[in-house]
Amino acid sequence: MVTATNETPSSSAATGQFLRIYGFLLIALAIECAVFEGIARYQGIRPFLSVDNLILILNQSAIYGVVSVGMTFVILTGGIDLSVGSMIAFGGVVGALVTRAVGGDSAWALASGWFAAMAAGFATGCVSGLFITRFKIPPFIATLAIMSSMRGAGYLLVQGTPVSDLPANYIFLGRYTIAGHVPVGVVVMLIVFIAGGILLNTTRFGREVRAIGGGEESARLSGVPVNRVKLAVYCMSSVLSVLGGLMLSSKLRSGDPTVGVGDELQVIAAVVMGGTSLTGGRGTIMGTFIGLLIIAVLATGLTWIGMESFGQQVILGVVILAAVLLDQFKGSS
Amino acid sequence: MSEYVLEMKDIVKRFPGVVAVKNGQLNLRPGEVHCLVGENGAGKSTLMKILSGAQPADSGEILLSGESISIHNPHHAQQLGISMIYQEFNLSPFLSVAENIFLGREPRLGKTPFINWSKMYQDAREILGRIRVNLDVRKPVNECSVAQQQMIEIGKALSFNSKIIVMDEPSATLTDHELDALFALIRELKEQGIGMIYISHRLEEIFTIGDRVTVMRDGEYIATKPVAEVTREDIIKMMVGRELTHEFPKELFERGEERLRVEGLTRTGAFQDVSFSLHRGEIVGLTGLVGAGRTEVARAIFGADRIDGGQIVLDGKNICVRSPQDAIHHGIGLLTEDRKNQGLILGMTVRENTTLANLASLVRGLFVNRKRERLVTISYVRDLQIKTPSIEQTAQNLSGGNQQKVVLAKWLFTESKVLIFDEPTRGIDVGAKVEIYRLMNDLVRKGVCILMISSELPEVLGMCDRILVMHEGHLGGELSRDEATQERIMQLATGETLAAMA
Ligand SMILES: Nc1ncnc2c1ncn2[C@@H]1O[C@H](COP(=O)(O)OP(=O)(O)OP(=O)(O)O)[C@@H](O)[C@H]1O
Ligand SMILES: [Mg+2]
Repeated sequence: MVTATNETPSSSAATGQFLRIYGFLLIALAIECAVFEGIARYQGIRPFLSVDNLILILNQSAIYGVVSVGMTFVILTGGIDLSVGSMIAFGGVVGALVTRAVGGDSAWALASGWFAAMAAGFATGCVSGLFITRFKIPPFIATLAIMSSMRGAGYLLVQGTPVSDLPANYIFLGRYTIAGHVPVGVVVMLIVFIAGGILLNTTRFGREVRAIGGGEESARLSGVPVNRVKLAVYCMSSVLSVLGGLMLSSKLRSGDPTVGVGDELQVIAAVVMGGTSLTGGRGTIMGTFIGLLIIAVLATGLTWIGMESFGQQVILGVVILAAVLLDQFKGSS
Repeated sequence: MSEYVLEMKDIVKRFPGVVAVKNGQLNLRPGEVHCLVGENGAGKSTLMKILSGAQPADSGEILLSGESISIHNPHHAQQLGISMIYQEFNLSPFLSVAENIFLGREPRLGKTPFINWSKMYQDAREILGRIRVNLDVRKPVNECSVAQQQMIEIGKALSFNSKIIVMDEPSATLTDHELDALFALIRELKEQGIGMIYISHRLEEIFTIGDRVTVMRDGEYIATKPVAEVTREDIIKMMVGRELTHEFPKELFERGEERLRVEGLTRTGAFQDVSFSLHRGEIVGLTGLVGAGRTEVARAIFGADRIDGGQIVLDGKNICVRSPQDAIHHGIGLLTEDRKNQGLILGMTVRENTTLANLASLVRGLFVNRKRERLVTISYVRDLQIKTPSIEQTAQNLSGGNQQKVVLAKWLFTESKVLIFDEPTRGIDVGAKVEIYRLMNDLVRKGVCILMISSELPEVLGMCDRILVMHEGHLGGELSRDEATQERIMQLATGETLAAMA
């Protein structure tokens, strides 16, 4: 019976495993695309499936995508980060303010803005992380408090009026394209996803994140530096939210403290849809990516076929429930 | 009417990669204690989960008082009069004893939705009275001892008018004293005509309490025998398929220099002024009654709990241990007694669990070296004979004993200087125990010193070079291998001093 297999998994076995894990999600995604394509043809509007549309969808999901990678890590430890929406706004405001303050149309000003915003994000993440690890405040409460404070801080910084008069290169993250087609934001998102995937799957840190979510006490007694790892995931989530905020404010060419309200729910939805368990320990970055696409295709597709936004919200809710149900069904069988 | 209250015939249960039960057979008479034994992973728990409706069988037949039935879920099983007492209890920690017993079936005030508290307390008292358990029924369950919780589970089973009660390793977490109480209770239930299935790896219990014994091996039914007609050796032979010559393969090594010394270790409320040392070449036993503070001492040395005083000296140097991480860094390991909550990450694979405490050694640059990780895990799976279809199996799906072996593998892989084993053979079958003792010998030969906490005196007497006995948070005394006997250990454990004994 001691038949532990020795060989490294062959590529076909790896494909098989990939399909076993993500099959449901990929099928859901495919069905979704097919439905929209069908409706588009039926209505006689432009076809839904096209390269341009794919890029559009990716571009629209870039901000949520970046944020959802951090959220995946947080949820994997068994926590939650409700402050991401506020951090998106706060990051954009800080980035815009500092860029404008340094002045000029130079790359230097832009980089200063980015750096300042990220540093602020890092510091905020440390604060949530410290409250959660040192003072054992439940993540839900700690990040709820941070969510409120940082939303307010964003307003205070700009006295309620969005930062405008930004230099022309400020739109780099949000509106530039590479080789005339691929938006910079999409490239940033893909880099973040790939880096996140590597971090989770191949490093000690990633293993420890999952171990904590799977059983915190067992992990601690196995020498996992639980507090340090948790602190790190909240910092990571916060910094990535700021990155998302910079991308958004670049797109809008303004530092607006009112954006991002409710984004935490969209992001959590993408993560959960991707099969990550809210109790922690189980989940993948690839799953989050597919979950994100399912939601993005839905939003884009519904707009494409002319549905107004309230109807979209209803359908989004239904799809989230259906996806999570499917996932549970898969888990139990 | 059949002679049996229960017959299970040709039960088959498959899991991906394993046939857990190939042909399960079991029958039970009213008022009988039927022991079920077999090696780790033999399929005992699985067979019982089928009986209690927790898992469906792939095929086979279950007859209840001669009538063929199918059991849909645990609730249905309870209604049919079948109750299962798992090793991990299914009690709600913050509810009271009475609330737990009547959970979901609370007596009402007439037809109103309100609970009739006085009736509920009275009924609960009445049920516990039937099994002679004296317990405040208003007390929250988390304030009850493990033994009391088990009694509550049994009380709950009785409240369903169960005809069949299954106990899966009920003795593993009990002290000798509590075990006597359990046996008294089981005899009481026999009187009332209740049939019981009793799973245990402590074979001596079979002879104390069992009427018949059924042996399983690798999912197969081997035999059912009246207990009076078999010996311990017969049972072992049926279980492992061969004879077991030495149950305690103790090897004596020369006592070397001191490795670990603790001085005046104190944790207020748990233990005071504990001092002892461990040397190369020896296995030291730490025993005493449950609650004497043995586990607390181990946790303190390991940095899992804060200490209020005292020092720890390792290889002649004073060390400061603030967290398990520090301890592991210094080369101290602790195999905890509660494998589900403190030993394993149940949702992770055998591989991930095995390497968790020493991932650092597998990291090349930034990345975990998967290939080496797999090789390491495979070698432990082989050495410890862990029964698993692959190293990628999730720990949750292993049998209890095999889970324990994975925890053991984890600590072996840390290559520690000092290993503290808290009840290392709990839930491990007789054959595998011997393997673990051999492994301890190998470790000691390599210079590792071992502190073994155990409630099983034969094991302590059989494997330890010195035995420390704790009593109510103090070190009551120390016995050498030659002086130690069960009686002397018990005397120290109950508070008699060495001087008084002499
Ligand atoms: N849910 C499951 N999924 C996959 N395999 C399982 C599952 N439950 C049990 N098994 C496998 O079935 C076999 C029998 O397990 P079982 O728990 O019945 O053994 P056991 O006789 O109770 O052993 P132990 O004495 O160690 O408790 C084991 O090989 C185990 O790995
Ligand atoms: Mg078992």
